[in-house]
Amino acid sequence: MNANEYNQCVENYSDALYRYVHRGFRHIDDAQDIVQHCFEKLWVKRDQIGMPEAKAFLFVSARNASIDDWRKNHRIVAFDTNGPRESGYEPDQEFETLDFARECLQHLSEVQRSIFLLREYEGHAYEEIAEQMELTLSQVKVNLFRARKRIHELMQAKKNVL
Amino acid sequence: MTINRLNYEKFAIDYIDGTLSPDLRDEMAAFLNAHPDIKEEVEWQQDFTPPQLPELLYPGKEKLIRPVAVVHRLRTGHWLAIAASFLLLLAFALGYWQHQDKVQMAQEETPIKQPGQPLAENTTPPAETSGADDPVSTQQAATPPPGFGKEAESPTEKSILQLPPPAATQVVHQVKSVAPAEVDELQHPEETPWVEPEPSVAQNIPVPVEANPETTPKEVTRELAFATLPVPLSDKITVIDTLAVTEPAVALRAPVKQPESRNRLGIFKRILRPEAFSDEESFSIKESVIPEAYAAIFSKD
Repeated sequence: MNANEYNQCVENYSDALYRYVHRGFRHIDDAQDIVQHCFEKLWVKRDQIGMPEAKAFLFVSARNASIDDWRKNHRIVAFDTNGPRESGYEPDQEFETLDFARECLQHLSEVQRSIFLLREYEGHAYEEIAEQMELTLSQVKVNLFRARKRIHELMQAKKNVL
Repeated sequence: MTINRLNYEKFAIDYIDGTLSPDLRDEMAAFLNAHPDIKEEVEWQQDFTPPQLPELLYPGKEKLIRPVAVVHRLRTGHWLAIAASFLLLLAFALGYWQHQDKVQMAQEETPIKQPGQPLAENTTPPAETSGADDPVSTQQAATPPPGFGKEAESPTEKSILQLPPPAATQVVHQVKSVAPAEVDELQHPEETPWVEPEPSVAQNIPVPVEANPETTPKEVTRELAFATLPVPLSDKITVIDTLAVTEPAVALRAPVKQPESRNRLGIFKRILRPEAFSDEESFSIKESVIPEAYAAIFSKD
């Protein structure tokens, strides 16, 4: 991978990687550092990593870095609608639906949340998710089905409350 | 394969996406019909839309961009300019080499003779004036004249040593040596006073047109010098070449104290090629006194 291809990876994956880390692990302040760390690793290993493998490498690195960061700092925050706002949200975007979406994501397991984010918001293929998550294809589909089912249950519960 | 409550989830996604094989699709449809609660879940997911999340963009993207080495591709005009420059440089080089070849050829045409080497061996006279058809003259040219070993101690030569150094560019000539037997016929200048020869008497020697010495510098040529030679001497000398030397008013130098200078042919050659000698023990002769120098040399014995 040369500099041009690396820069192309930055253009294609930096936003998605940032959303993935930001939404999935709630490392609000560290999300930028994790993304930067992932691209630095990609740059260092650019001779061994080509363009086809760059996407999986970035997301695997981001997930591992997020997990390691959480384990070190125990900074994962239990979902609380009354808690501090995420710095990534603008005031005019803080709608009730956004809080509900974040609530839904926090009710998922880490694997289900990652699969759900990668599939539903980032549009990754099942094979890519399986590679990044080091799961089988069936495990990915089963977890995705369960994540959707959980989200559906939360949405139904909210409707009943309203 | 049998789809049941334990494994239906891994088929449900493909069933919703429509990527399930026809056999499994029919089996899945039958399973859902048999289990209405699961069918409700699957049907809901067919119209599933994930909750809306804010669009996030990575703020530090510019910091991640690495500089890329820019390679400027040369356009056709640039290549033409480079080619033209190269051709121009090549033309200058060829011109310089040709000039050097001409200079070298000019130097080779006037080789510096080794001391004691006969002049006739290294000179190539023209066909009409070389006298190559005469074997006697060729043999004589390689043989020093009798009485050659004596020092030039005549009053004429002593006066020559006192002459001022040469000053400017002029043209002198190489000459062919005279026959030894005929050299004896030369007379000493003390015994025979200088007589201005008639131009018609000097054979094969053109008579130069006299220029005004006050207005234009006098170009002293060998023809002019030899035109003033006594008749017996000029008859024995043949013009074989013309040399341009860097001393104007003439100027003849020869290391008279060196052994080889005793060779009168060598002295004669050196007189006509003063540029070949630069040592201090040389003497200078003005062009106007070349005939006297010839007379002094060839009448020594």
